[in-house]
Amino acid sequence: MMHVMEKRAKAGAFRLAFRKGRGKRALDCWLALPAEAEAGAPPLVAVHGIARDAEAQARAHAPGAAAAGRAVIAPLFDEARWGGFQRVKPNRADRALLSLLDELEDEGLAETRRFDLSGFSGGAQFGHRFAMLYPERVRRLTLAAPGFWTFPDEAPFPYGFGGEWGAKFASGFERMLGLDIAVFVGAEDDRRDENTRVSPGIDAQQGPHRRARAEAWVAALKAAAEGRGLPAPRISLTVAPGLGHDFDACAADGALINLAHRG
Amino acid sequence: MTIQFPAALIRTNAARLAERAKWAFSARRVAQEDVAGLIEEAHGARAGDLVLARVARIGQHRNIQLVSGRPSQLYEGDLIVMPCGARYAADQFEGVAEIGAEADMLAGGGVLGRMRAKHGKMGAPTRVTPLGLLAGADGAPLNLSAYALAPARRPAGLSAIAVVGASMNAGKTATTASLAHGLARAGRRVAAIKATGTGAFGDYNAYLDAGAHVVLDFTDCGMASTYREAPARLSAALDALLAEAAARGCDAAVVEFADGVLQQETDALISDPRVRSAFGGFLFATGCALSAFGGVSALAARGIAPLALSGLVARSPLLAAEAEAATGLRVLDLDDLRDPAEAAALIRRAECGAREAA
Repeated sequence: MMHVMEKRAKAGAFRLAFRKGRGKRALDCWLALPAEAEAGAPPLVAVHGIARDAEAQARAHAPGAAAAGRAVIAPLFDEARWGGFQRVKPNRADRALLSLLDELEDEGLAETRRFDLSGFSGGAQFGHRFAMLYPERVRRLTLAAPGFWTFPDEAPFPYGFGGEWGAKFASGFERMLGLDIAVFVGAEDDRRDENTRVSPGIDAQQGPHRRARAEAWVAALKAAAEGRGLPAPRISLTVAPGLGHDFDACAADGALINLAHRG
Repeated sequence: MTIQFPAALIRTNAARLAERAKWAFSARRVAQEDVAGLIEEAHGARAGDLVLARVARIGQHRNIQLVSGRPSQLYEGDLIVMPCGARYAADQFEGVAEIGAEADMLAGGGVLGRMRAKHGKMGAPTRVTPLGLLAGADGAPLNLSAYALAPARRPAGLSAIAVVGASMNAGKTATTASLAHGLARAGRRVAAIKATGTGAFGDYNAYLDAGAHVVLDFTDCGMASTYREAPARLSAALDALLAEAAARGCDAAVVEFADGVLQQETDALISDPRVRSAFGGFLFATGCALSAFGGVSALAARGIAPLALSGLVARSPLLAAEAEAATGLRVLDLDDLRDPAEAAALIRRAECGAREAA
């Protein structure tokens, strides 16, 4: 059942709507729905970070999505129920998103079997882990400035593929390597803050800060593909000058948004 | 043996009788408007021939499973249409595809035949008096095989997992349905298929309820039962079912084999490398740790290393731990199988297995 508060954009090319989830584990979300939907256009699922500003995600991506006739789905992993959502496993944020996508398809709001997935900060953590579990669901992956990554190594999950849960992520990794992946990080996102996960182990594995960690993850994926005899992955790394760890600033700059809507 | 049926024995009111009858689920593919006559001599019935019969005595089966997918209580005097067929059910009836002056309802779903053995818990089968075999416009008996899927080559691009078990009621159907559900939740377009067994709507409906996009079974290949059918026919049917699943857009299939791995048709099929090559992986459903150990050994002798264990054993943490220790395999319960992440990982392991086998 929809429980929607609607806002209409001035340009009329899309409308923003808040959809309240029903049920204890149902996700709320913000939607940006195009005025003219293009049949078969995969929606963009845009995942917030720990600021949990799903509306900002929907707003920032709405014009680009509307131009392509597709919807933006910005799930809201609220703090009360979804602490640690970015690591996927503790509370199975993956299943909550899958359920939301099923419901939206049932309601005719979007065809959600395959979609583009983007995330900023904690949303990018969630995004790359979700794509490892369900690479078949993802067309293009855009990952901006996560605090740390799951690497294709034997480190215990969530740092690597070690342990029973790590094996689940590992099982989809090779297929994920076949996706179109764009990694984005601000050139000035090179300092630790109160949200940076720090330990000697993670620093040694991934580097000291988000920029270094993004660079290391991209390199690790390329090395993993080569080591497995797979084709070189379609992965790009954009280090955006003048930007730090601020979604609004990254969105205003345009490069991140354009990346998420690359054709 | 070929039976010649005199034209005089074909009654013109057969269509009306058939229309009044309760049609068994296993005959669901038959176009009922094809009924043009009745061959009153039913002794020569072959497996799959449609028998028009009147219920003579209610026994073990008090219901018939209808084409519509619901059970219908039986009353003495009811008219029914059921295919002639055999049945192998270790905890119910064993019987053959033979029709005499009376016939036994071997399965409510169903098949008519002659019971040869029954489990100790079972009462006498429900008995029917055959009125004859339904015939088409050409005067020949209508047979399920005429309504079967066309033979087809095994498709490429369909990832398949087989579910085999220690015995009847080991948890194979729940395993199959749960895995189909997990795969559907993960976004796969999944077929749930029963490759062998006796026609009935229980498993079929369980697959549908689980959210499988396509549900098929051996009755779609013209068999009311696979017991005593030639392995080559069963193998060809498997290919046709997989091809149908692929043609209907599925990219994953979960295929259940009835009974235990020692049952003759299941054994013949999974011992056939060509059949095994249809699957990237197997799940073994079982009820206890010792049968897990024995079953895994039996499968190894047939060239199969299961991906995991499942079934009733998973309901007992102690038995599951014993089974895992004895086999080195994980025991997956129904929640595991319904978990989209687990299901997606399983099908990917199967895809890897298929690539390595190729």
